Amino acid sequence: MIYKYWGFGLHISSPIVMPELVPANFEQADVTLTIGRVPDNLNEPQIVKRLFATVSEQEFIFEISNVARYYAAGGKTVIIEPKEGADEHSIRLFLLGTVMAVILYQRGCIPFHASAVINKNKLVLFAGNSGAGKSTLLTQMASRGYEIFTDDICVMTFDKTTNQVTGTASYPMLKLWEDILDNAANPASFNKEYPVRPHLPKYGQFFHDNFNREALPVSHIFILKKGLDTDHPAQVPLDALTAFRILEKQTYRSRFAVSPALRSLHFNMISTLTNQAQVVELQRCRTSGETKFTDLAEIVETWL
Amino acid sequence: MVNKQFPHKIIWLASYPKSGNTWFRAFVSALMGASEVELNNLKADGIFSSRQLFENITDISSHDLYDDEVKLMLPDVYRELAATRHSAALIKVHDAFTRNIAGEFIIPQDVTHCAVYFVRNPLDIIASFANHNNLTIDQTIKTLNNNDAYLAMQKANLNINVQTAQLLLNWSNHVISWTTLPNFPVYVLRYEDMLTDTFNVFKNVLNKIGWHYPDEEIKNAIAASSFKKLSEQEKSSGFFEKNINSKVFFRSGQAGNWVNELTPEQIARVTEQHGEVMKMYNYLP
Repeated sequence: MIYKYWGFGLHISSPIVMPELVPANFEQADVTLTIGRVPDNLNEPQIVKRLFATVSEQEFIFEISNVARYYAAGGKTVIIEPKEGADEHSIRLFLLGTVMAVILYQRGCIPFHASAVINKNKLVLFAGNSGAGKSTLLTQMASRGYEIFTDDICVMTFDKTTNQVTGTASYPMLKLWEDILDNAANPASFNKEYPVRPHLPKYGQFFHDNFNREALPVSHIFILKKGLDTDHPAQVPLDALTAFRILEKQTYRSRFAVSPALRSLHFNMISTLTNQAQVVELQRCRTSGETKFTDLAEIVETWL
Repeated sequence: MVNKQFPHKIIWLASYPKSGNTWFRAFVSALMGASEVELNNLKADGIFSSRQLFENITDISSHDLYDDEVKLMLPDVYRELAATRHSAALIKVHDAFTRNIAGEFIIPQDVTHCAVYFVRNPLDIIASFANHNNLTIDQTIKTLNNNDAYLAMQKANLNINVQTAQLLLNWSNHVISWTTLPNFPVYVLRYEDMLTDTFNVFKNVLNKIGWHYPDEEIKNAIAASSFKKLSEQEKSSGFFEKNINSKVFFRSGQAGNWVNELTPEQIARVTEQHGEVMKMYNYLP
């Protein structure tokens, strides 16, 4: 049985069910996933070795002990070799993160480490390191009536004809930690049916019924940062040079973007973004909790 | 430069929390060229439990891993870190010297140059650690007495802290683990000696590490990293290592203040459990 899906702007065929993605109909898949034996080595000669990965321009091997080995090639093929006893949730978690990011690199696209909502048919991005609070702020924006566009990864494309950068959603699932669900103003709108891994209290929240697959231009980027001890969150609009320096680092798993062509594309895309979008650094207080994210959402709204 | 010594090796700055580790890192930072110590930019190379460092090396977000998985990867993470270094990496660590579920020590001994272990009277740690975690004295005594105590362990396995969970063991076992198990040199500094004889204690440990600095530079670095200076800096610009629940990181820094902070019954609860190790370091009242 082969399942057909849409995700990351691509048609994906898969031997395993992937509830995170959007069921789709197509003749020719852009990316074909298979279960099989991952090669020991890459064929391409120019490789970069990382602790758990080996990468070249068009090939990639990645291993998560206890979960799976993955091989991605040519932007078109992924082989998954599950470890004994590994569960499908865990296998898909790393597949839909790092492995798909590399597929996008191999296809000449840039995965940005950002969540996004739609405002006036343009994208408002929330970027920042893992744990910065991107998903949490997203739920706050949603409760203020903004449509959620994507969580964690936004696929950026540089359109040479319009000289604009557009973003495409990854897939319609938001990942939220249990404490955020429990403390949400509207806990009934969330559920704990889909743990992203069996023993991790982090749950997928699907929004397939209200999901926008269009590529939309980016109007604002908020960089989330944990601040020092302050009672009030700080907001700092960034000049083009500072914005460039910070946005450069928001690319998802950028160490795997090894081709010179990709680096040049990345440079052009970030340069364009700094002119196209308002970039603001938001410093969160070092206290957590619902009210603080509400404060941040209020600040975000004043910029829109 | 002496700080270019020991390529591909790690020097661990190990301690139970609130035992002088940050002070020593500030001193080393001053020594390594910073005339003024920048509290939020100490010239050390991070903490063992840093999620950011882990992700930079593994390309995996530790938020997505189970604690057991993180501990299995840590030895390789630090081997990789050491391999890329042209001088010794200085890494702060609060974890006890323990093994992961595969039976391997989480600290990779093969890439270790040495460790400096800071030990402090547990009676003095209590009020400081209580302040750090915004907990009561009684709750903090429980932590010091608990052999399953963790730092940065969150309720229900939530993985959202900026650091991964650190198994401390109880205070005695923390000390014993670091001072008896490693196969590399561990230089033990008593916090109380650091206070009373700073120059000689610091100079002596630098020599043991293999870093030979002129006396004048050591004296200047001690002055630049004094408790008063660090504390003033925290007041003016904050300190990112401070626990979000506590008011200040640098509280009093004194030795022997426990007589004003603990009741006889609380003192007894500590000495009953830790008397043997306390005696070894001359801490028994």
